Amino acid sequence: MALEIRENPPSGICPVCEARVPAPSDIEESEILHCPDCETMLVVDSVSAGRIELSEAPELEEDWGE
Amino acid sequence: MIKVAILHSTLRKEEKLISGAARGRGIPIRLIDIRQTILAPGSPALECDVALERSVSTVKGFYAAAAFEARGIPVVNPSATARICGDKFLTSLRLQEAGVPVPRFLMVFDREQARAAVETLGGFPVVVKPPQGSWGRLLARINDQDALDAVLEHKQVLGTPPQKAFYIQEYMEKPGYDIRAFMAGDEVLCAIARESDHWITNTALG
Repeated sequence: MALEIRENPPSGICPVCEARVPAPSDIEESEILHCPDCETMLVVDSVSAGRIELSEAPELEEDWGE
Repeated sequence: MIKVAILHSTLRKEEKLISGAARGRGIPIRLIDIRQTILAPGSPALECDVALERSVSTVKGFYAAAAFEARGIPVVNPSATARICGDKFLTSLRLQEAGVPVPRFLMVFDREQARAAVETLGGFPVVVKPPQGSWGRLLARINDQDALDAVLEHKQVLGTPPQKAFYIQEYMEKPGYDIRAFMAGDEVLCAIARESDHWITNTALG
C-alpha cells in the first residue's frame, strides 16, 4: 500500500482571538483572510514554511475604489 | 520572456486570478505591494517590462504608475488615464468632448455660485458629489435650498481641499435600476443591471 504524504495547508494565528486561521495553499502576502472564530478581517504579512503571519486588515480609506 | 509586474495594495481575488492566469501561461509575474515599495527614480524595485496597476488606493496607484512610467515602463492603465478616471469632473469633460451623452454638470467653488448653478441645471433636485471618490461615498441629492446651504457649508468647513470643489449634476430619474457597462473600444465586454429603490445604485452599497 502506497503511503500518501500530505502537507498541512498553511495557517496562522488570529492576532485578535488567537484562533487558528487556515489558508489556501496558494496564499500570498497582502491577501485578506477572515478569522473563522471572531470573523476579524486579517491581512497576511508574511508566508514562510507553511506558517503565515497575520495582522488586522487596514480600515477602508477615503481614496479606496475601483 | 516579457516580465509583468502587478502593482497592488490589498491583494484581491482579481489580482490572484490575473497572476494565476499569467503563471499558467508561463509568464513571469512579480507581485509588487506599492505600500511597501520605495518609489525612488532608478530603483531596481521598479524593474519589469510592463506593469498592471491594480491598487485599491487611487492615490497610491496613481503615484506608483507615474514612478514606473518615469523609467520608461508602460503601465496599464497609465497615470494620465487614472488622473482623468479618478475625477468625476475631468471624466465628465472628456466624455462630453467625445460626444458621449452625460447628465448636465458643472463645478463651482462657493455657495453663492452654487445657488446660481442650480438655476442653470433647471432647479432642484440636483446631485452634489466630491470630484474624487468611489463606491458611492459622500453623494448628496439636494432637494431644496436649505439642504444645499447645509451640505456645502459642511464641505467648506469640514472637508479636505478637494471637497471644496463642488461638482454638481442634474438629477436623473431611473426606472428602478441603472446599467453599468464595461467597454473596450467600441465593444461592450459585459454589463450589469443594478437594481435599487434608493437613488444611489453603487454595487458597494448593496
